[in-house]
Amino acid sequence: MTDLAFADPCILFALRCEAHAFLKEFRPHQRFRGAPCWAHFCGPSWLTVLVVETGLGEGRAARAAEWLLSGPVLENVPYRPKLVLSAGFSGALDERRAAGDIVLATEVVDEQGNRWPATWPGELPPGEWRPPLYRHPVLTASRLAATPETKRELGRQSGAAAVDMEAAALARLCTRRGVPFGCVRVILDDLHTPLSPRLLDLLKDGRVAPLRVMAAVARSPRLVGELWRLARQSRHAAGQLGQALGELLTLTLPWAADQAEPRS
Amino acid sequence: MRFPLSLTSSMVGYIARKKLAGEKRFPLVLMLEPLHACNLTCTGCGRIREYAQTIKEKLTVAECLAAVDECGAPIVSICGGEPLIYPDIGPLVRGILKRRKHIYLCTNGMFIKKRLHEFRPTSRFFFNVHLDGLEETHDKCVERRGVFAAAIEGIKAAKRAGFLVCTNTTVFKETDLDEIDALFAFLTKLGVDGFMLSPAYGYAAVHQTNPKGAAEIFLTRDDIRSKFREAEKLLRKYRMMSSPIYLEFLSGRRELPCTAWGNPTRNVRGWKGPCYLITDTHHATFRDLMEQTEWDAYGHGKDPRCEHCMVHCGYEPSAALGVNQRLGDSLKMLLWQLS
Repeated sequence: MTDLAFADPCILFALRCEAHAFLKEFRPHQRFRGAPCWAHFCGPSWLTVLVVETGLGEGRAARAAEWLLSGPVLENVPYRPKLVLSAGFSGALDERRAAGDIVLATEVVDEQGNRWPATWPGELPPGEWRPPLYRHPVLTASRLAATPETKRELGRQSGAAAVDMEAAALARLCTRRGVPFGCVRVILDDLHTPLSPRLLDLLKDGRVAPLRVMAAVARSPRLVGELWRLARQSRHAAGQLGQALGELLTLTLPWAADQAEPRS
Repeated sequence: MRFPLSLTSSMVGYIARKKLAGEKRFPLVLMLEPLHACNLTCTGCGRIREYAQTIKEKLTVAECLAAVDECGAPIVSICGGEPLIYPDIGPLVRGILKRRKHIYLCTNGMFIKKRLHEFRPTSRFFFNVHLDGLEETHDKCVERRGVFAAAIEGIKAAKRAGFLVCTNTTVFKETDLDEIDALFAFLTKLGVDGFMLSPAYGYAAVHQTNPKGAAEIFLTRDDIRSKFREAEKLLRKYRMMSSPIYLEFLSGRRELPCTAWGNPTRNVRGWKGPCYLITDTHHATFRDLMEQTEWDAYGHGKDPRCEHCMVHCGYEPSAALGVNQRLGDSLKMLLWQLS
């Protein structure tokens, strides 16, 4: 019997557009066969990470995490991640956070008030980080927060500075299984930017089907401006997230294995 | 003065002591590679390809300092890999400086700003930032956008904090000398303290993994001579850290033998023999490297792998040690240092 296992860290994004810039630097090189969603080993050989695209929402994230932490087998060798990261876009719940800011979670909170600590990366790495890293609690909500009032209220209730739709599912499972967990989020829309009901309706599944967009634009031409702004902000946010994640991983991860390598 | 007085005086004193002691071969610069991991995958890089099997390994600080003591060279070039990924780079630099050595920390510059607080400015420590051209060219060479901009930010931060900064530029077949002129002019405005220039070496690992690319980027000996002869005028305009004798060699105005033992390399697999560029074996000790290597079997006309090599790590020691010396060389070197 062998207890050998792959232990590369795993990063879970909900959507491809969130992972896009990161994958330019950490290029996919091996598919994880049998995964319930897109899952590829990415990055250089000395810093390989498993990137998983879960789809939007806690349910999808939980399904991917269950699979991930169940010891899936790749080429007869089980995979047991030494770290699980939740990464992607988020909305600001704190007026100090602007679009493009990076939030490194101190803890993850859900709508019921449950809290799970983010155990990675411990102390914020010193030095000048660009984009700057801000440490705050992150809230996971079941739906997109559309209005400034809603966001402000969510922030007040939870004490969080950013809101996403997946991290709590991962934090809950990782805490239960004793797997180190971290959450890196980039702010897509600041506290004061509302999302129109039509845009919310378009985005609710996390995918924007061209036909639905055309129909929605035909009904409300003003949506074009909102979509254009969203696309521009998404590109910027994904770029910021890709850079921050890449540098955080490069400067914190590879040698952490010296202290705690769960392969053996 | 071109170099800090402490560097010049310790190098001159060191060479004099070694010559008086009758030592035939001795190191001038230790090439210390604490790791080979790098955040970039540059087109012409041999290290990430040659050391793919051990790329997750690193030397401990104690191993690095033992290598510094074992070798004894007055200058340590910390390279790799990207040394600013090395977690203990701060303690390592402090340990080497405590030994009164001079350090060139060779970096792609992307993490200077993040790790600057781990260093203190001193005349014994240089950041040596690798730049192969202006933004478009450099980012193409390193195969990633934004690297030039990040390196320039790093240089600016280091200069603001009072550090000595030099740059190292590799000349490839496609290198446009007008662009190098513009690059050096730009860097001079940023207060960069000096420039190193060297022709690329056609690593076997690059030829094996990317033969088409290798043929497109690496220069032959004749190419190098013609390129550097063309560059002579422009190089006079800038504060070059490459010695005038080495530059004469590059432009074909003189011959120099290779003195690869002048720049021994220590990495995760041991003391790399015979030289920084070619790997026949790794020795367990520095003494083994110096004594067991058949130095006379290497060099232009002796080993086909040396055929087109004119890289500074093999030939700058020859210039510093006065091998194949001509009348007036000492004066030329003195005036260069004083200018």
